[in-house]
Amino acid sequence: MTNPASKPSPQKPSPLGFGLGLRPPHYPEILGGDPPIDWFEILSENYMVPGGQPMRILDEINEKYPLVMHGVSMSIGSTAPLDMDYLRDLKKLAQRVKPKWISDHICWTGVHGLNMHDLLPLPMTQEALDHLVERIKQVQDFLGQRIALENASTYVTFKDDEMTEWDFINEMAEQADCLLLLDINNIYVSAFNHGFDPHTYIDTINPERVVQFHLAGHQNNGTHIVDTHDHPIIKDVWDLYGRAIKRFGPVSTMIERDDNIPPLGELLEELEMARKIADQQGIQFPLFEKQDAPHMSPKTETLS
Amino acid sequence: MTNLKDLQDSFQKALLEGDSSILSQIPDSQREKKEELLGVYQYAYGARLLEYLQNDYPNLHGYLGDEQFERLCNIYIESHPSHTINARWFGEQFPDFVQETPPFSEMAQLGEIAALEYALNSVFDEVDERALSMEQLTELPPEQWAGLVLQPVAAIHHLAFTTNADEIWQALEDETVPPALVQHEETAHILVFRHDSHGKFRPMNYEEAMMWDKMVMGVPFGVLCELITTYGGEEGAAMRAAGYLQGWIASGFIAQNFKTNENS
Repeated sequence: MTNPASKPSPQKPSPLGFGLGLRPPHYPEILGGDPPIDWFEILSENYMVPGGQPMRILDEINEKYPLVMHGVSMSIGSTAPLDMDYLRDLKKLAQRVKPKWISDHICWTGVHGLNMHDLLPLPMTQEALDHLVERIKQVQDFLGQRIALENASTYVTFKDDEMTEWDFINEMAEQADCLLLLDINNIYVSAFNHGFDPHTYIDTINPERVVQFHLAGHQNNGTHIVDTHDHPIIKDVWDLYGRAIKRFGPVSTMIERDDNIPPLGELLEELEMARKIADQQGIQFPLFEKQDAPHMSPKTETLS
Repeated sequence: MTNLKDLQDSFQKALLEGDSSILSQIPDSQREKKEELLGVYQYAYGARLLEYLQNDYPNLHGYLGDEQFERLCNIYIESHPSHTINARWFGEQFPDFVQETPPFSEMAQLGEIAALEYALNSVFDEVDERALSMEQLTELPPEQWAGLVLQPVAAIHHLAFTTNADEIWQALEDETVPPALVQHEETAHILVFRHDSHGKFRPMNYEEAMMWDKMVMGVPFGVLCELITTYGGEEGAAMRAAGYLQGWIASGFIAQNFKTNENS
């Protein structure tokens, strides 16, 4: 495997601070007030629509906050051809939003022109790695920028697996020269499901590639955990986040709630917890450049 | 070793058809059998698609109840595997499917409620266009009015109903008891449009609906006036035609870019 320290560091986008996934139930509070949120992640597909309220609100929020784009349909690991219509639409949206970065998942979503609307697992094999690396390069060439890829929660492994997930991801990032979005909850879920130590994962991933953390909740079924992203974050995941931010430094952190969306205040409490943990680990975020962002209070700009 | 393509084919078959051949590639975990673990994906596939339909067709769901709605959706999910990258369009064919699939097709109001919900969702995020203003139109020389060819904005749909599905939908939306089914003797016309960022609808009488459809087909305004004379009588025909047009323009239903046909 490649030694992560053996290559020059990629140019990483500046950290944004502490953000939330943008969800429609929170639109009025976000636009009507000034909640202490440094940035938002949008679900790209929600705004790959012709127009109307979603696009109008997106433009309004984009004027106030830094945005990143997060997709679920790139199907980067599929053996089906890349969906160029999708990539064209994604690029068009990116030209409108000018996100700080674009992300999707290390997974596949379907073959034979079908979409399973799920983040399906890849085998940890050299063949899958080579395939993935080639496709990431193609996508990055098309979009004209590096993309960030996220570790998905998985429920199965494959008998043919040849390497650990963290080695697979490090190799992928190095060979494709892409960025990483680490979902701390997903690491916890996959570690529980497959019986590996999540600390090893955190301690092995190359920090130079990591631009974003996701934090989320899940549903524990006793023999396995299902990544539902519809519960509050549990203590073990907070602990793992503390370890991660200590090792990776000031990485843009956000709460990702996909279902059972609570009032904004509840997510702000979780975001405050993330700030507190980063603070306890002595992590300071540099001042963000966007001078016209009214929400960037000194309190959230610098953690001391 | 199974190659990636074959592995993905087998995995997808497990989700779509319940095929179990992929299990030969999957080990048990320390705590759970592989069948259960694969089952997480198999369950999620159907549950997620059902959720998309529940989100898009909430009042049809309310009208049918959980059991019948899920039965209907499960047939749709089995017969319509998703080809769309965006969940937003998974239920695009659902109204036609409801209208064509027995025994649901025997209750016309079901397909019509679905059509109304689909249209309301469609206009919500349809493309934004500048609408024609009355001021723009009054600048047109009078001799060009007869050749005026208008087009509607994209965020608008004309639906033709055989039942009072619109009243049933409204009652469900208002969380009141839906009215009894009424089969109309003549087709009822509904115009679905976007107002203040949200989908709305209103009825159209037969004459307005006829004029609307012909306008959408590109028939010039002068010919529309002649058609109104034929359908609704000569008396006041021009006033009626002008009234419909004025109403559409005031509501922002007509696209800004119009043509004038010199030969009309």
